[in-house]
Amino acid sequence: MAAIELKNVAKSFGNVAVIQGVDLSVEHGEFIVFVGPSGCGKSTLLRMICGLEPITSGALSIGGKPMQGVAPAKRGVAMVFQNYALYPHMTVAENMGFSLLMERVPRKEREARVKRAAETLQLGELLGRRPKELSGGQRQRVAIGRAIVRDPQVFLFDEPLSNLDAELRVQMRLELAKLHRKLGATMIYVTHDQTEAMTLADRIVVLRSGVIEQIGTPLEIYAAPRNRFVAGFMGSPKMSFLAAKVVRTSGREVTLAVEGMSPATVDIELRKAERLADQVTLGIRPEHFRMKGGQGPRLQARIDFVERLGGDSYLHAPDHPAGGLIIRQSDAVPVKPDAMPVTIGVDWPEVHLFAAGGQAIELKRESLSES
Amino acid sequence: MPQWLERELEERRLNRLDLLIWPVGLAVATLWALPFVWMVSTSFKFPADVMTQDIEWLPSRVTFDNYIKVFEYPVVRWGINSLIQATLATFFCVLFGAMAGYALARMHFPGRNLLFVIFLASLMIPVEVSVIPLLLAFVKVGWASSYQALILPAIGNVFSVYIFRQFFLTFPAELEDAAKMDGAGPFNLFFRIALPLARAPAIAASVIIFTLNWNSFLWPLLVTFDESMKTLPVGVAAFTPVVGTRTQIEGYSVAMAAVTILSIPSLLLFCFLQRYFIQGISQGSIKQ
Repeated sequence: MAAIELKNVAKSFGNVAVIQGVDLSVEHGEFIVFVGPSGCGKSTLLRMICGLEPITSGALSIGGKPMQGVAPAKRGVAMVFQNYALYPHMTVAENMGFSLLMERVPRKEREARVKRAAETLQLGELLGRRPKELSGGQRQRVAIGRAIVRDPQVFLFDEPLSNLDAELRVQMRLELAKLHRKLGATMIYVTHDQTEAMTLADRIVVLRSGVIEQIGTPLEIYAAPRNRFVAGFMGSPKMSFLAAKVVRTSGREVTLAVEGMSPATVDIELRKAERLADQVTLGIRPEHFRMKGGQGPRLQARIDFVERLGGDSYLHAPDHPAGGLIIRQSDAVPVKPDAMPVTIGVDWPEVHLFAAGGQAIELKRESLSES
Repeated sequence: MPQWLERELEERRLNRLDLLIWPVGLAVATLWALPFVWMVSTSFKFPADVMTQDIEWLPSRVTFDNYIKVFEYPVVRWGINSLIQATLATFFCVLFGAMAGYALARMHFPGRNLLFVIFLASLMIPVEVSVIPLLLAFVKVGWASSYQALILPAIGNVFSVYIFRQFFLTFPAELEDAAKMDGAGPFNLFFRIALPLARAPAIAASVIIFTLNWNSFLWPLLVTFDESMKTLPVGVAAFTPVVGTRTQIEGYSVAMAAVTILSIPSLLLFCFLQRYFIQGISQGSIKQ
């Protein structure tokens, strides 16, 4: 029995469909991350699961029980909000114990449970303070503590780290991962930050315009994106897309012509024979370009801008005729922006191919490494 | 503009327009304060010093006789009546105003906006239109000249509803969501979360409504038939000097002493709660 089951779940605001027929099954103890651009419906989906947003059609069950008409507090879920949503007039202890007060839990038990949760999150010293006396990270921990106190089957997180500074975000991300391991509870986490998604998730659900584009483990999604949107969204900096012309097809063999690439045509083998349109797109991740070497064809590009991050540098070549390139360079000698074009190699076995409609075309990678 | 003035403006974080606004504001404030100063000053004057050829802003001779004369009347009783009436009316008015304001701002029900427009439209009905039917109703149920008669009609105040509605429109939705997740129903959500956070509008509404009730004249005048149920404004009205007699001159200073006593509670309330009062009034009018 799945912890959460969504069957053909949809949500409309008037005539606007924000969630369209979502099917999803979340196992007990899983850490699921909903990721997608702003307005893709990820927060709405979360609010539908916790009962703050009614479902227009479809069925939702939590722990095998249908949730239609069940109040948010009775679903066995707890939510951590983006802006913490702590009650400003209450102390940390009162904030954490409020749900237990509403459940009419006796005071002694309430205090004991709050204390236990506070110890888990190292909040013991702060129990008497009010939210305005806490730092951003402490507030977020109180918000998580408030969820833990209820001992829920499922934790829901709505972009909980987006208000924290970069350093604290990394720290809290680790703490959340530890907490998940410690509690073993099912967690659903919403973010638009794909680094958070990659580092925290057991499985990632990529959403766009209220539709699930792909569900998979972080590495599955990164290595085998189902379409061009997922390929572009997951990965930072994003994948470079090059326009390619289909010159010839013969069964699974396809010959492509890419402007600014030498040789002028390259062969590629598909996993299974497919009818392709004249135009397709090649996708190459920044780490699959080589300033020196590379097993496949070469591109000529002028480096316009260099982002230096210390260990790595990202070279931007937006003017390449087939499409803008972003190249990762880990070598110690950094390339400088230059008016003269440079030669860039490609790790050909790692390229991705997308049809004109954006869907990924499976390649026979073994043969690519031979070419 | 001279350099020193520009420097001064910059230091005080003012712009050139403030150079115009501040003197005009100061002049208006002075104009408003003058009658008050005159009232307090006259209350300490001897009757003979009230009407003089030259304007005497501050009394040349000070006397407390006027206040003693005022206390020869049942002023304390009237004051207690006023206090009971104004306090209870304000309490219920603010409580019900907050509940109605919350419902109008945060709860979704058909006709919500229409109801609010009707509330506002009721402000256009003059008191004089409703006061006689209301009086007849109270007489009929036997509540004339009672605290119920003084308090009940004052409880329904649209201003209180308005000020709370404006506040709750800006109330963070996430707090409500968090409370719902914590299992709070509408009652707990309002009394445990929303109302404790509405301190600024509650204080602003309290000051305004208390002052309105404290100064209320027409309704208490009509509905109180015996001396012991009179409120302070109704009682103090008896000090108004009758035109064309000697008391016109003698009575002014006593009348001013009575009115000074009358204005003290509203004044104290405003002074102590000024910060919240301005915060509450400006709620919603500026981006927080």
